[in-house]
Amino acid sequence: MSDDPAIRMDPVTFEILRHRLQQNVMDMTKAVEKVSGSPVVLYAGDHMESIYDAEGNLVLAGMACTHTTLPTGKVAKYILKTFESDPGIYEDDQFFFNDPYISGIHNNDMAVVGPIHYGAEMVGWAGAVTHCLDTGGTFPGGMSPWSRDMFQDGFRIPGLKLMDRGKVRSDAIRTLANLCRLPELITLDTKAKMAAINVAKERIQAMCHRYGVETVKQFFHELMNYSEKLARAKLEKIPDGEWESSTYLDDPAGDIFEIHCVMRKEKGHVTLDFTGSSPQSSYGINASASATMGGCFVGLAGFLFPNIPWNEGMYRVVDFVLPEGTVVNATQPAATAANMPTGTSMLIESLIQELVAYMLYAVPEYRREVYCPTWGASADFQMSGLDQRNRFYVTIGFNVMGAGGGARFDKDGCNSAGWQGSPISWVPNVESSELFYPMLYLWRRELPDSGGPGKFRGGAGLEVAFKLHDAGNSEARVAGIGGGFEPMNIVGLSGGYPAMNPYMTLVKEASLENLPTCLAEIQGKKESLAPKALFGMQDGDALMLLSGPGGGGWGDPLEREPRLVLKDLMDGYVSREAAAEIYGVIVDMKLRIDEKATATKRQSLRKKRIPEQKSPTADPDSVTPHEDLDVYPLGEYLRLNLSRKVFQCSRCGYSICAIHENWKEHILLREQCVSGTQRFVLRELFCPFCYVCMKVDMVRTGTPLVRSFRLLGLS
Amino acid sequence: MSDHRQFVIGVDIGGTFTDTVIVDDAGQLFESKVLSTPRDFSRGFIDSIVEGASKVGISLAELLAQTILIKHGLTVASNAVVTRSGAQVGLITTKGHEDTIFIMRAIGRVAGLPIDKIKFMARTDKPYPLVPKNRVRGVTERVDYKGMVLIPIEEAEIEKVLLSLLGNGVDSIAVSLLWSFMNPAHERKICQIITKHESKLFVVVSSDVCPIIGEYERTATVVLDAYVGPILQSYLVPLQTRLKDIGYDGPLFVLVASGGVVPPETAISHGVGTVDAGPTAGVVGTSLLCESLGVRNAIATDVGGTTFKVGFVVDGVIPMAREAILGQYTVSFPMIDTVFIGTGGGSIAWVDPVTKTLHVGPQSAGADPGPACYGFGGGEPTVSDAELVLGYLNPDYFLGGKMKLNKKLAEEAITQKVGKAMGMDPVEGALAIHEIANASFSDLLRSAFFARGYDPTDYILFSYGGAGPLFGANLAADLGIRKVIVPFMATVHSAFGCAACDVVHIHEKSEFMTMPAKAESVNEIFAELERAALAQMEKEGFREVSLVRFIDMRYHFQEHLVATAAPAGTYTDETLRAICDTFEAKYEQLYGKGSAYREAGIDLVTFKVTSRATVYKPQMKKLDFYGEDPSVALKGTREVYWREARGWQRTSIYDAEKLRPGNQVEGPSIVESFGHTVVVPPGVLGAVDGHLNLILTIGG
Repeated sequence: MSDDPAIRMDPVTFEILRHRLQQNVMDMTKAVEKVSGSPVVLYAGDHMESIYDAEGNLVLAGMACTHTTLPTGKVAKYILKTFESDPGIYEDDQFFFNDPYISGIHNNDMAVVGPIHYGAEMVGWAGAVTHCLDTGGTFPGGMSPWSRDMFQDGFRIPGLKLMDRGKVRSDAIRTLANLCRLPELITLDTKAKMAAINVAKERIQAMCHRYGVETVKQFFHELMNYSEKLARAKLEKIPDGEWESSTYLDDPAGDIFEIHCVMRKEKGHVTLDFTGSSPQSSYGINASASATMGGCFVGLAGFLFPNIPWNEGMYRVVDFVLPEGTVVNATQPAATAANMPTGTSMLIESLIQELVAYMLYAVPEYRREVYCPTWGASADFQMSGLDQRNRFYVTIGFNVMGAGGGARFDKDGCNSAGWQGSPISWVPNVESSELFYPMLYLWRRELPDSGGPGKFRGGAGLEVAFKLHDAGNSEARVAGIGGGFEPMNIVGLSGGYPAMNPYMTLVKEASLENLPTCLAEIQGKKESLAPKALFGMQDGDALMLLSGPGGGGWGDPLEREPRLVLKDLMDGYVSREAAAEIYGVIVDMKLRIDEKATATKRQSLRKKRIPEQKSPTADPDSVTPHEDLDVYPLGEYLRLNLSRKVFQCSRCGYSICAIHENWKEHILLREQCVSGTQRFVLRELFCPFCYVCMKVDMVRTGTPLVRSFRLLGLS
Repeated sequence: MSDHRQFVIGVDIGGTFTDTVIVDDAGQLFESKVLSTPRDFSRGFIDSIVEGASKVGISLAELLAQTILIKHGLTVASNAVVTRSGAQVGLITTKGHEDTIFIMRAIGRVAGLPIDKIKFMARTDKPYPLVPKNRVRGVTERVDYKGMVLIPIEEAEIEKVLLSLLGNGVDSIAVSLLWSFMNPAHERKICQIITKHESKLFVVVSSDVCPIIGEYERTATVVLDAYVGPILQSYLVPLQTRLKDIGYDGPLFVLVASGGVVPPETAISHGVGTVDAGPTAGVVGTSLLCESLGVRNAIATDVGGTTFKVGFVVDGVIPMAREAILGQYTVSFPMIDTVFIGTGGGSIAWVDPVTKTLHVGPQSAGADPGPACYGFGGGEPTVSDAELVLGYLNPDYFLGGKMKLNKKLAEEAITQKVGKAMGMDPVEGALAIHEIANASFSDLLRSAFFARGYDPTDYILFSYGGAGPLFGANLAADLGIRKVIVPFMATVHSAFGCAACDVVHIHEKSEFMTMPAKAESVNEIFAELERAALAQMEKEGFREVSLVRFIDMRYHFQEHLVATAAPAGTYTDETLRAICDTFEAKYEQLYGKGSAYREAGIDLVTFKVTSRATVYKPQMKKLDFYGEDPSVALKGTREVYWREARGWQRTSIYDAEKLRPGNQVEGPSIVESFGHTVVVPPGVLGAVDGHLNLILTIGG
């Protein structure tokens, strides 16, 4: 395979057209941003623009929401298949589409696609999708975890002609406006996408004019092959193996659902197998198959293939196993509205990030791309009511866009970094929110200790609090749309710890006249909310939330350089308590590191890793020097020594067990409950000889020891 | 030489060169170019004037004695930001919101980065902060969106905060409170107290310099002001003294991104305006040429070794933008609309080992080691190497022969890094690089047009900077542009623009009104802004001032503001309705026909007044025509590869300095000056106009 020429056309023309197409897609993005004006488009970057070939294969996606790359990739194909004979597809047609059971994440993701003709010949398609702030369902804003079936999720259109042979169908536009609580917004969004398609059409036609239709068609074909070739080549450099993990979500009834994934990499191919995931919920947290694949592509496109053109070629190297009737492939009429941002597909983003990170770490040249999980939990609100001008509004908080980034293998995660599902996500200014909505922000800050501890710390997340302001007597209806308040879903890697869980606290009848700037200053009835909570807010109530949580940490926190801990303490990213108890760094009152006390503290923290009932059984003879190494790293402190066929600690060289054994059964293990309900435990795995923390798993209590890694053809 | 001869001097300091243009009152121009001196920029400044004096043919003392004005474009502030060598800034803000400048609206992680970096999320990070966390202080106070005080500010707390910052060793303080542009009382109070305690401390207050909505951008702007202000002060104040010492008595003006010059005190107090002013002068120079040539719409392209910058003139006016990204920080102040589109001649060509495909950029060889042909040890083939191999660049006449280019090294780099893998000989490789680079530059230009709703075919392309005229004709052909103008001083065009700049101030204020707005309120705001504008001009000694009004408007729901021209005078409801019509027309021009959406309602957001005083405009002398024959300027021929002819062709080479008005240069040919090379491809006709500009007509 590797000797095939990747490109069977003139390389200069190919490169000119590749750059041109990329620029065209960026201009489509610009068109959407210019016309839409929707805060979800502008702040969350929750939109995607794409070009397809004449068969509807994705030739190039833009760089906004990676979550929607694959799902939107199927819209054109579907329209081609179902509309060809009735009502027919003609030059300058455009179609509206938002059926997540066919293609998409949830009903909010509304696409417009249209064919591109040159002369009489169809040469391709263009499409754009944006998240609309309402779906006309039972709950304002859509995305409701309380939704009980797909009808409550909102309207669901499997294709509707918006433009007929160049003429806008105003009946269709008006129908859409009638279906939505925000008629102006959906209309602007629709116009924005139509404008983007017009841009694409003009550009592709100019390309055909200049280079010839056949060349352009050939180029589309070659660009997909090009991506496939790059994707395969990257995968082929990674040793074949299996990586396995689970993550957990809750529905409004408080029931827990597991998402289980084994990522199997063989040669130039990856299979994501979700067998073992929980049966679907009777609430709106489920994902359709399309939404699950969308979540997977946040990890795959964004972190495994960041620099190849995102298109069909990338899909060719990935297969999915999605058992029907589970949370990852719900069957109709299950509700799926809230699979983003509180449900299945959000969690899948960080689950895949975890698996991809371990896979990349094995290859030294890919190590720089390791990115610990982020966003596997969040707290946001969807709020509606009458604004200060007595107009109806519905909005989401968007502070979740300030989630911390995952730690890297060589540096901390970026603080308040943005959503990994869209590289261009924003937190709105406090002043814009207060101008448009009847709210007043008491504070917004990067929260100390919110980033997962580690040798390299996860980025800090955002805590915010607001009260109603100028709302008169009108109540705001608020829906908490969070998830992962109980399990620690944003796990750390390679001995790093999970990020702090998000939370939401409502303070009723608070004394807010002095505009407190931290929770301790607020008097009133404080109530911790469930991640999914429906409530009203009146004047005098305040809501506080750790909205965008931090990122997961990398490596054992006791291995973190004390000066970095001190800097974090001074900058307010780590509390004095965490510095001492998690990092083992003792800082005196003059903000100097007490080196002696630190050494002692770290020693005692390491000691505590030895279970009391068990005396250490490590045999010093099992420690081998570092030289003779044909090794396969499974993280910073765990490796397979291939010459000796054993698992080893990379820090001290201790041989843990034979390669065919379950390494987790041969090392020190400590479990701590992570919540009052005792449904989840943090399982810390320490080297029996040097006590370094090799891995921290977050599992349901009583879960057997899952090996996490398996090298194919070896163990 | 007459005793009454007068001079105006423009000095433009760039990363590599310091350019000077001297204009006399007869419209005669003299240029000089010396190396910039980053350790002490004022040395290069003086050097370039000294060299300029020798070009005029008089002594430095004579020149300065007869100089009425020096205008100066500088990189002192940009340099301080890039090298993080600015002042120790303290920031005072609203309690509870101290992290605004660190959160950077999350987008700070990728703002301003090219697409390949943005997509590679695992390695994107926020910039090293301009103000560390331990120098930010929150004060208890709160104003709401209507400007109503919810929590009054306490003097005692301000004093406490100030003392703790002073104890921290700050050089300057930035003040930015929530909603201060709606009610500046709290910020003013803070300013008063600081001045009372430390009258010499450098203070920047957001409601003074940036009274617009958006606390992140406003805060970033004042933090940058406070970061570069003291640095500008320690450069400009001694420079003025030094100029006085060597015999210059007139004023010094400083170029800012708003497209004009301001007195040093103003530049220092709002220094962010000088940070991104680099491309400004060239665009101003272009607009001046447009005026004299009767050109309405122009795109100004400035291509150097490591940068490719673009600006516009639309309907005779330079359009304004309101945000710039400086080192990933988004700052907000009125500036002329410029775009950084790429890396120019230094872009590196490479072959992907997996796909065996050829790509150009986005990596750049920069100035060091630079292209392989520089012989500084750069082994990577760049666009400039390709231009040399194809014969467009003259190896013996780069920078007028001051630097030799090594064609062998260029060929070798192309063979090693491109040719072998692609099965191309050096010429084929060079041609491939050349074509890919041209196409990608034109793609980026097309997007710059598109983002603004401009149609390239309505535009004339101005091509300057060392490498601009190499690409001009090809870019124009690709974009459907019919004319390219290579300004007569293409290599020092920016210094020329600098010499020509007016004094410009922009006063603005955000206040939200939804149509139908009260004409009375609008009148009050404009009256206040115009009073402030005239007072400032008067303080600076200008009485003849022109005022132009703008309102930033948008459809309700939308974030995008459209700067809409507003008439002078007192408004009635009728006037406001007419302004809305202008807005809608402009909106459709920008965003496409049918995109206007009046049902959503129209908001007036920011009110602006541009005040302008013309200090001195060079009168450009029109020269007599000499006839079409350019043979006096013919300096020889060489083999050049023309893709249009699919092969080598012996091509005439002309000396740009010897071309006379009326001369016609037929493509294929090359026009060389000491600082730039103009490529005139087959089918293109070049004509020299009465101002010595070379005008290329594409397609005959």
